Parts: sequence; C-alpha cells; structure tokens
Amino acid sequence: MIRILIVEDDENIARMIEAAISIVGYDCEISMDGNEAVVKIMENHYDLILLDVMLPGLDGFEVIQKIQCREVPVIFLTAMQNVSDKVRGLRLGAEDYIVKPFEAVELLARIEVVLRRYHKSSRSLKYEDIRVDIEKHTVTKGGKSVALTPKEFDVLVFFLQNQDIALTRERLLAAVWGYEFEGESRTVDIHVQQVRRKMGLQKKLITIPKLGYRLERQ
Amino acid sequence: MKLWQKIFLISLLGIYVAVEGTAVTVTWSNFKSIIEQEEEQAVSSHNDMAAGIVNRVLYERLRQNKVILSQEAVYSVVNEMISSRQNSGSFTEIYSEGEPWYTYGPELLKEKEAFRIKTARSEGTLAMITEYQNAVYCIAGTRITMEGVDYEIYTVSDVTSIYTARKKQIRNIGIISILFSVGISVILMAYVYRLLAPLRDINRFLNEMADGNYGLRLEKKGNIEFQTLEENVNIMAESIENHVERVQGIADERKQFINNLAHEMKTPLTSIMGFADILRIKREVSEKQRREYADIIVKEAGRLKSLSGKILELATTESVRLDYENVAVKDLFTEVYTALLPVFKKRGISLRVSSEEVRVYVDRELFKSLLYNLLDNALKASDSGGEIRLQCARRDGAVLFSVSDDGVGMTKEQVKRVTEPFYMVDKSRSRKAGGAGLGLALCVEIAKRHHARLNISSRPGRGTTVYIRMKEGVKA
Repeated sequence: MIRILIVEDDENIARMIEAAISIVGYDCEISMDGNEAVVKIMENHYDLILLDVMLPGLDGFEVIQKIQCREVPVIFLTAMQNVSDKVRGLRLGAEDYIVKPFEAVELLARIEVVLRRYHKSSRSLKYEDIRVDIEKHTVTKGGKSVALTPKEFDVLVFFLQNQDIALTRERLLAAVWGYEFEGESRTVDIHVQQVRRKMGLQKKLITIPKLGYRLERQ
Repeated sequence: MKLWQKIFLISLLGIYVAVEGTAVTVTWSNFKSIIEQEEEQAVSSHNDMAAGIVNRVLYERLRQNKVILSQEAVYSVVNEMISSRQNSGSFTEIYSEGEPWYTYGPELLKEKEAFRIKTARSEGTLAMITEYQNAVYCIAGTRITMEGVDYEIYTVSDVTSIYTARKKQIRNIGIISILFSVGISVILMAYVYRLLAPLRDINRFLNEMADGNYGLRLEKKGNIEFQTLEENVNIMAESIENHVERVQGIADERKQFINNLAHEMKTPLTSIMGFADILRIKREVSEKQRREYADIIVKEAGRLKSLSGKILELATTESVRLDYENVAVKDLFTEVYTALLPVFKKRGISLRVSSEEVRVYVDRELFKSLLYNLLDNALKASDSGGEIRLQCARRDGAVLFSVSDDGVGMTKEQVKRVTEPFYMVDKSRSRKAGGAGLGLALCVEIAKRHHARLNISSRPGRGTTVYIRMKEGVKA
C-alpha cells in the first residue's frame, strides 16, 4: 500500500487532496504544520510527500531541507507562480511542482509519474485478461501479444492507472502527448477508438458525453 | 558651438579689430602729418629755389648791364644754377606757355596738364602728391615771370620711401595684432575652461543621476555662483531620491498586495476546483461524500465572495467621496450597540459602551464600519464569557476612541504587521471565522480619510486595545 503525507495548512484543500487520492486507493495522512510534518516524516515511512510552500511553523522550503536524509520524493503545492520559487523548489530536490488551483486528475497523474520514477507503483498492470509490462512496453490479451503504437500504449496505461475515473480529452492530451494542444481532441478520439478495438474494451472503455472517457473497474 | 569656443572666437575677433584699428588710425594720422610736413618742406625749398632763380636772372641782367636778357641767356643762367642740383630724389622742371622749357628725367609732368594749368593761373605755390611708375612724388609748382616771359617752375621730389615705410608698418601692425589677439584669446579660453570645471562636474553628476544613481551628492567648489548651483542640484537630488524611494515603496506594497491577493484567492479556488473535479470524474459518490464536498464548495465560494467584497470596500474607501457630518458619539455608539448586540449574545461575550458628550466630524456609515471592524476583531480574539469595551473621551484637546478586549493578544512583532493587508495572526482561527485578513487594513484606510490616527497596544494573553485619535467636531 502506498502511503502519502499531505502537508497543507488549509483544511479544505487537505481534505480535497485526500478525497482525490483515495479514488486511486492510496493511503494518506494530513499534517497542517511544518514542524509536525518533519516529526512525522522522521518517524514514519511515506512513499511520497505533498508539501505546501506557505506553512505555519516551518515553510515548505525549510521542511524539504530537514527531511533530505529520508530520501522521500516530494511534490510542492503552491499558489505562487513565479519561476524563481519553482527553481528554488526543484533545486532543493523536489520531484515536481504543482501550482494551485489544480484539477484532481492532474494531481493524480503527477503523483503517478513520481511514484513510477521511484519504482513504487507496479511495473506491470492487470485488467481482466490484459497484461501490460510498462518497462518492456509489451501488451498481451489472453496470452497473445497485441501490437500497439507507442501513443496507443500510453493511452492504455493511463486508463489502467486511472480506472473508474472520468478522463477528459484535455487531460489525456496533457498526460500522453505531454502538452496541451487545443482543438486536437480528434487525435485523442482516434487513439481511444484504436485501443478500444485492439484490446476488445468496447463495453468497458465507455464514452461519457461532453466529458471524455472512463475505464470501468472490473 | 561650445561656450569656450565662442569666447575664444569672439575675443580673438574683438582684440584683433581693436588692436588693428587703433594701430592703423595712429599710423594713418602719423603718416598724414609726415606727408604734410614733407609737402611744406617741399613747398618752402621750392619757393627758395624759385626766388633764387628769379634773383639770379635779375643779377645777371644787371651784371651784363642789359635792358632785357634774351631767353637763351635766361636758359643758360637757369641751367647753370639747377643742373648741379638735379638728381633722382628731387629735380626741377620749368614750363613756358604750356610747353616744357627746361626738363629733366621722368616725363611725369607731361601727364599732369591739369595741375600745370592750375599752377599757371594761380598766384602762389601749389603742391600735390601723385603716383608715377610705382613711385610716389610730391610736386610743387609756381608761376614766375622772368624778363617779361611767364614760366611755371616745378620741383618734383620722390617721397616713395615714406609710403614704403607706411606699408611695412601696417603689415607689422597686422602681424602684431594677430599675435596679440591669439595670445590673449588663448589665455582667456584657458581661464574660462578652468572656471567652467564645476559645470562639467555638475553635468557628469546629472548624467549619473539620469542612470539611476540617486544616492550621489555634489562636492561644493568653484565660484559662489557655482556653489549655489551645486547646492540646489544637491537639494534636487535629495528630493528625487526621496520621491523615488517613496514611489518604490508604494510599488512594492502594491506588488505584495497583489501577491497576497492571488494567494488568498487561490486557496478557496483550489478547494472549489478540486472538489468539483472529483464530483465530475468519480464514478460513484456516496450521499455523505456528495454533501460534504458540496458543503465545502459552498463555504469556500462564500470565502471568495467575502474577499471580493472586502477588496471592493477597500478600493472604494480609497476613492469614494465622503459625506462628512457632525455626529454625536453617543448616537453613533447606540447604533453600533443595537446592531451588534445579537452577535455578542450569540457568542456569549458582553459589550460595554461608554462615551462623553462629544461630537466628531465623520462620514457616519464609513466610521461605523471602522467601529464594526474593530469590534469584530475583538470578538474574534475573545473567548466566550469575555468582555469588550467601546469607549470615547476627550484627551489632550482631541477625541480618543478605544476598543479593548481581554482576548488572546499579540506579540510586538504581530502588532507591527497586523495592519498589513492579508496578514493574519492566527490563520486557521481567522479563516474559520471567515476573515480575509483585510479588516485592519480597511480600518487604517478609513482612519486616514478622517485624518485620524490608529494605534494598537497589545500583550499576548492579556488582550488588545485599539485607539483612534481624531479632532473634535463642532457643536451642532
């Protein structure tokens, strides 16, 4: 079980993050104060820290310096948008930097990337008779390998990692293509249709009108 | 053209004209008198000679004991007398009835017919100066009668040397005046250049200042005029530095305000966006979750609303035209008390109001808003069972309002920062009470519009008192 510590002094934001993370089934704890967070990190094991910059007690930059010895990946959450803050956060060893406000799925996607980088999320994914090996880039269905283009492969992995969550076309674009190009949601549709056809997911990978797609949990 | 160049050229020209002019005038008058003298001398020696000739002819006639001498005899007498004295410097010629009778050397006189006619008609001696073949001559002429025949006798003397001397003199004067004027001008220019040194310093200084170095000051030196200028430039620099600092301060404050505002807006927005997104993308949301999420969204939206309201209030307080009137403080307090009593009752805190008979000149609604804000802060700081006091009294010729509580209080550091926009002493406590951190900033703004001063004294754990000091209004 993946354990995530949320360090955020605004109670409602902390609860929102908790609710978002619980969708993908990770375990989380909340700390609302910098000093308390340092104590918790020193005493317990966490797979990831979501760290707000503006905190009572110690601020986020001070916290990350104090917990460097624990070698836990950190994602900064901040309302500040200036580049110098971002550079400072990343230089201090943060894995990523999310600017408030953010969408829940974006947060989940960033968490997924960091966890994968630390090999904390599984390298192989299962869904019914589909098996995906992320490292080897191979897909099998019922023991037979299926040929997917690299982008189709990424789309499939993103759906498997976000089961039961409605994914908008924009989110898929950002996650798979790595940037947000507007007006190209046709590209997403074509790839999703290909994945659906090749993997036989016609009934499970459903279209949600006006929103996007969702892979229903088995 | 630069000033020193102008001074150089003008003095050069001026001195040249003055020196040259004076010298030329002096030489000219000098020359004229020399010429006149020369002429006079020529005339008198000519007269002597003419008289000598006439006498000699007369003497010869008497010696020869004749009634009259023939022209040939006269000629030989004259020739004997003159020929020895003829030379290129001065010579004598005699004309008779318009024809040359006795001539020598250059045929100068042949061309001077007008002068000869004039001489033939005149009684005395005439003189003229004329140029002939690159030489200058002085001619003196008289009519004489010898042995019944009329002659004109002329003495021509060469005065070229006087003219050559004059020419040479004028050339020398020209050279000398040029040397003089150049010399004086150079000295003058150097002096002016040295005098203007402070001006160059001031120029350099102003350029530095234009580049943004406002901290520099000029050293005082040079003449008194420059010292005054330098002093004034320094005064200007000082005032520019102060202004720039003030403007920079305002800009920094504004920037800080915008940063804080962005932060304060993004915090509720993050919750709203996050929960709304969860509601949108999650396949199944339980009834309990749905209510919880929606509740948070509504609350956070409320926070945004109160924030925007406060911002608007702050903005209008700065700019709106106020409606001042003389208000009795007692009336003001009664209104405030009535409005706030339910809130105080609900929180279990008592409100004690007391005031002297005094009037203040204020915008009624805005000033009440100031009191509400202060009382609201006191309320937030107090626990149930506490007491808050709103008082007003005359003190040292002014009106002193005070709002005091026995609540949590603040440290000195917190008191210093508490009027900054968005500063909250206890963030979570303030947020729960729906605060945006703008209340006291608003109070300061309102006080400013009323020419009132806001002072805060506080001790942690002992409570806080906020004072407003302002001028007393006129009696109604």
